[in-house]
Amino acid sequence: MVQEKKMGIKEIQSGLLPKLSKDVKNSINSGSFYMYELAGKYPYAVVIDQKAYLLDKKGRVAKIVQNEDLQTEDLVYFSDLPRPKSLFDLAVI
Amino acid sequence: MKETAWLFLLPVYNKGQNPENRHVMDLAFGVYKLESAGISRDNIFIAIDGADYEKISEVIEQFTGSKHRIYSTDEIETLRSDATFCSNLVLFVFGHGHELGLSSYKIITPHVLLSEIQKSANIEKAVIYLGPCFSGIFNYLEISGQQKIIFVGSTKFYSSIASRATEQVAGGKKPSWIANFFLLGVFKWFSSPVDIDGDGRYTIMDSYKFVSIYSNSVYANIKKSDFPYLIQRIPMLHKKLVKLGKQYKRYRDGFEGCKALGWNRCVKFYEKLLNDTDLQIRTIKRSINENLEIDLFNIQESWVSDSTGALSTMYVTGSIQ
Repeated sequence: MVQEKKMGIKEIQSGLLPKLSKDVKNSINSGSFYMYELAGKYPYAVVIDQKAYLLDKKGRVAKIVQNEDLQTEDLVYFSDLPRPKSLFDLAVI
Repeated sequence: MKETAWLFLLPVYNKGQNPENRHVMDLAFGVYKLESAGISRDNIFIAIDGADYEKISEVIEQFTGSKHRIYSTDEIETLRSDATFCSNLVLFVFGHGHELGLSSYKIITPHVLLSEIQKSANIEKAVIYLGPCFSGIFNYLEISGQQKIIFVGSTKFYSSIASRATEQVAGGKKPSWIANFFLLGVFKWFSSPVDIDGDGRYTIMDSYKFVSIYSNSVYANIKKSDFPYLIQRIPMLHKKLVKLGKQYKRYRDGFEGCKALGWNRCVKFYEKLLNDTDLQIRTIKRSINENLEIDLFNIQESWVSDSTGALSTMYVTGSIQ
């Protein structure tokens, strides 16, 4: 039996997906959208609510599918673009 | 010492659909923080509605470092029976609010939630922290009986506010998501309680005062840091949105034209352009809406339903007494 890979959290360089717009990349890093690594034909998917935009290896949208049908692996962020700060660590008192 | 059940509840509006990722992440972060603060996992109960429990479970495992049993809200009776060893309850509510209650496929009205708690005869004290929008409708309830039931809400009749955050979870991983910062503040207090009124005890009243100050401070910080973005970026994004809208229309015309002529390669070409443009339009719309709603059109004002009860209910690591 093939063991399915479990979800992890990883970072990649934004240059790996040159055709994906910077606005989308920033939204992924801010946590508004989620980008997952996929095992099949399309290497990544950007998930917005119930929709999943499947990306080709350069970051172009190749297909749109329902999020529910997706077998996702790692959650991906961009290592060279800004990420939000921690709110939990904010000292208030 | 009496045992406390720590219940994490995430109802979902559409039966058979998964909850939003951000809500699962809020919940998973809470479980991680409470376990890190010394609360026994045997006392932690998670109830989530969803379709793909494997996926939901993986998110929780990523955040906490271990697998947890997840009950659906249809299994409340099983959960109730599994938690009978507890005399007290702390309930954290996640997800969306609704003007009639908690957004669930069977709307959980304030009366329904209260009755469910009152049905658990073993529960002597219950504290309910409500993260969703319009949680003020859970205030001003007629609560009879011997049980002490205290509600602490994130907001009165406004939307509850969530904002961009990157937090450290199990194994040093750092996910980013749009986090409900009222609930983050509640977990912050339980992780490291502060005796705000200086009476020498950690009480639910302290948690309420703390999270109110925390929410307002975070909100002020967000407004300050977003201000330049609002005045510089939003007009620019509006222009971009108009341009992308026109572009989308052109591509759609091309797509329809090629389809009518049966030119399949051309159809595929336009389909890709349409998909790309659709993603960009959604990105910009989301960005504008999030900023306008969070920065301009909201108020965050927490509340507590029973100040006497909140003052006399103490938190001692692992339980409320």
